[in-house]
Amino acid sequence: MLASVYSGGLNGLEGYAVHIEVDCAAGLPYWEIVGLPDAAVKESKERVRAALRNSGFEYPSGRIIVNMAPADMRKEGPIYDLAIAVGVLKVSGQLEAGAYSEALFFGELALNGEVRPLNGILPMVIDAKERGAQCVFLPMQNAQEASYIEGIRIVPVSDLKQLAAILSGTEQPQVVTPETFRSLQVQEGMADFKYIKGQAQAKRAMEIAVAGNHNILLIGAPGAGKTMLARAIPSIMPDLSFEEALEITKIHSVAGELHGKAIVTTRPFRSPHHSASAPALIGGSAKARPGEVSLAHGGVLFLDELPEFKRETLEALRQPLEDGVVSVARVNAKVEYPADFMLAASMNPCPCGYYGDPERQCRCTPHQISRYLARISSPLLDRIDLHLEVSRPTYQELGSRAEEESSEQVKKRVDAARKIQLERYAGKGIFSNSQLKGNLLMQYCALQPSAQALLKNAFEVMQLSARAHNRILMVARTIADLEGCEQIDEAHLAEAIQYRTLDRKYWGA
Amino acid sequence: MPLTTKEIYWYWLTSCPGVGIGSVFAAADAGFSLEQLFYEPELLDNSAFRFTPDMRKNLKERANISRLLEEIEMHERKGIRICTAISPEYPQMLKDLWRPPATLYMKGRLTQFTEKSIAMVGSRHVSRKGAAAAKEFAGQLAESGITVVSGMARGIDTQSHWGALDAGGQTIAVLGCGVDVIYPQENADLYAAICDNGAIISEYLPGTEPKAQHFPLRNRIIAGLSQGTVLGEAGLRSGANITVNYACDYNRDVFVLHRGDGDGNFETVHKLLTMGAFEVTNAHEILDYYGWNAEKTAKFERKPAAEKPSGLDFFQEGIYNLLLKGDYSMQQMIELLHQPASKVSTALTMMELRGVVERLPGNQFGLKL
Ligand SMILES: [Zn+2]
Repeated sequence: MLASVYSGGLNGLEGYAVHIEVDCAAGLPYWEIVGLPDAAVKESKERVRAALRNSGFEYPSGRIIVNMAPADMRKEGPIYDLAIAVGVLKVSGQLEAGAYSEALFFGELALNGEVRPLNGILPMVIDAKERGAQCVFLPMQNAQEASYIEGIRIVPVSDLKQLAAILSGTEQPQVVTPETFRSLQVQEGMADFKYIKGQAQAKRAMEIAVAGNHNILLIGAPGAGKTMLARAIPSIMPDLSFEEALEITKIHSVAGELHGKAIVTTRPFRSPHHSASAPALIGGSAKARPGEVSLAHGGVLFLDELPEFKRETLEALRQPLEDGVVSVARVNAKVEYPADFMLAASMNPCPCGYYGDPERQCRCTPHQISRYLARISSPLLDRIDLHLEVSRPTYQELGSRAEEESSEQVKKRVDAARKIQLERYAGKGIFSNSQLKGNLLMQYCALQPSAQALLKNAFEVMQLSARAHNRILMVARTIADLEGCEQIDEAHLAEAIQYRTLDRKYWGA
Repeated sequence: MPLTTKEIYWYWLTSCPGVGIGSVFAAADAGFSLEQLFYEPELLDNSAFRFTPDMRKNLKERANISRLLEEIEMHERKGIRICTAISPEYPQMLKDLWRPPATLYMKGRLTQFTEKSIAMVGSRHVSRKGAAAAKEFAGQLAESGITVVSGMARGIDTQSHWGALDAGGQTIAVLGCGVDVIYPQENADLYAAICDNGAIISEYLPGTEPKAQHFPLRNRIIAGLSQGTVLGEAGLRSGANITVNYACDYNRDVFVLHRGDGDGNFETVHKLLTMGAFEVTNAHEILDYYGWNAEKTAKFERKPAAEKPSGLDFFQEGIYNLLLKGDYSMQQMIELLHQPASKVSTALTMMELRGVVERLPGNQFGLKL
């Protein structure tokens, strides 16, 4: 006797079909799974056997061979328990599944027969739909997650008994009704600019950074509110489109980071601790899990205490910052995950934290300060367009009753500036000012002679380092876009110059 | 000038780490000449010297004229001169001290010490105003031909040296390490400038690393080389207190520069004022005090409060008037002036480019001093 069941697997964010055959022959009890199963798949024997018995079914005696195709793809995780159980039920004649013979099954079994949720349901179901599947059975707790996919019947099941009842036609399936997507960018309770007192310059810098898709570095003493400011960045980023939301959800689904959410509706904010390893940040480790850079895809990656991160960890950020994707090596292949995020980082101005503080005396020597700064590799620093010094709010500021602008209002200006950039760069292969280089930079950041003279003068008077030049132009371009100006003028440049703190000579000198 | 044999014997004895002028006196008390010690090194075992075994080993190994000449030549190749306490160029003012440095190592153009020397000391961590006051005062001293003596440390020391150099004057840095060791490292520019326009001196053998216990002793040379010591901004724990104490011990004068007070830590200045120290605000007062004549045409008037620069727009003028009261952070200015961050940022860059304001660490801004 031979039974045939369908399921699927994941390679990175890409799904693929898995065809499972279960053969049962007379003989002494024997069980074998072939087709590159990992340890968790091999152990499904014990879970399937216990789940069948505890759900009132019989575990057939005899030689059972489970073959999983394609044989060259490694099968990972407990995804296939449900499919194997269905195969065993069919092959032993305990179940007829005529109406659902083409359906796909995903789910892990508990010993009592319950169906447990899985990571990565969203990309697997999307892939199944794209391959023409009509119907998918999946764990009840994953139903929400799959509910945004239209054009496929999604049947959630909570245990093996219920599944058998549906398959044999004694129970009507509760098909998930597709939801319509609504971006919930500004949610109540989310960090909002209106809750941040004062800090007008910092907020302005955030607005510029988001408007031009620039990375930003916040420099300030402990307690200056750097983290609070960074957390508010997603609230002024453009709304998520459904495609973006789906892509972000896929990543979070694979990483098991959805925590019961159906779909990611807000831009992610990830802040890994500085002790995080390079695989945790970039992705990899045993199961080629997406790292923090991919979990921050479409949102903000916040590196608090930047100089405390290990050098090799920061070096590994260069590829995602450059390409917007990361390649993660796994046993027999390379997996690519999207990793297009806005980098926000924070640091103290010096090891003790009080360099330049008006109230507390910094006790660091200039040598200690320059050593501290040197911990940030310059290729990484080169990818950060804005440096912002954040000072601790005064008591007056904290107590001020002045009405602060809300994120919603700021976002309107950001959206307008982004729209200008999208139109200007249509067909040019880039979409924001932060990506300008070479000829495009010269073309779109051309300066009038008077502005040219101002920039030259600034380099001389302020002794800026050479790497500041293009960054100032790009940021000035964004400031001009926020004002709706086609030409960068002196005022735009003059403001942009204020955001290159670390290029100033006095810093650590 | 090549060293005389007497000076070479002196150098031999006093360049041994741990040997000071006390050993020279001990030899005299015991009735030995240095020449005798040199040729009969077993005399070094005499308990009157209290030499350690290491010191005896060092001295015995080096009791060889050709070896010493080699050592001296090596110093000279590095531009280092040896000035023993019996050398003619040894500063007279140090000879008056109890236990003066036995041998000085010197680098730089300055060869003749003058009695018209004033020490300037203060804290390593200073406020911007305290630093600017010291720099300006040192400049006034140097302009009138007075040599400014200090220790090349961070803060007041560094400012004082630069003040003298920028005024085209002469300055001496006394180090707590070998004269060929640049400490602190960030003062490499200053070190080179002092070599060109003054002298770097130390009683430590070239190559000696800075050690905490060297600095108090170094301060006695700073005080000793100077007719008077001017104390700038300094807290109660500043090493400048030690220099002031030496100056008092040596019967030299102590002045306090009570300017730029308000932002920084002037505790020692206040303490000395209550003890009757002489308060100065202008180098003229020092010249008067000693009856010295200014050697060059000196511009003594304190810089008048800077004229309001012309050509500021209305808004920039508002910022200027605000900064007349003190330094402010960008955030404070945005609030006090009720203007958006973009406008304040732009105006500040424009004013900085015109040399009106200065950006300070911590996102603070002040008028250019
Ligand atoms: Zn510090």
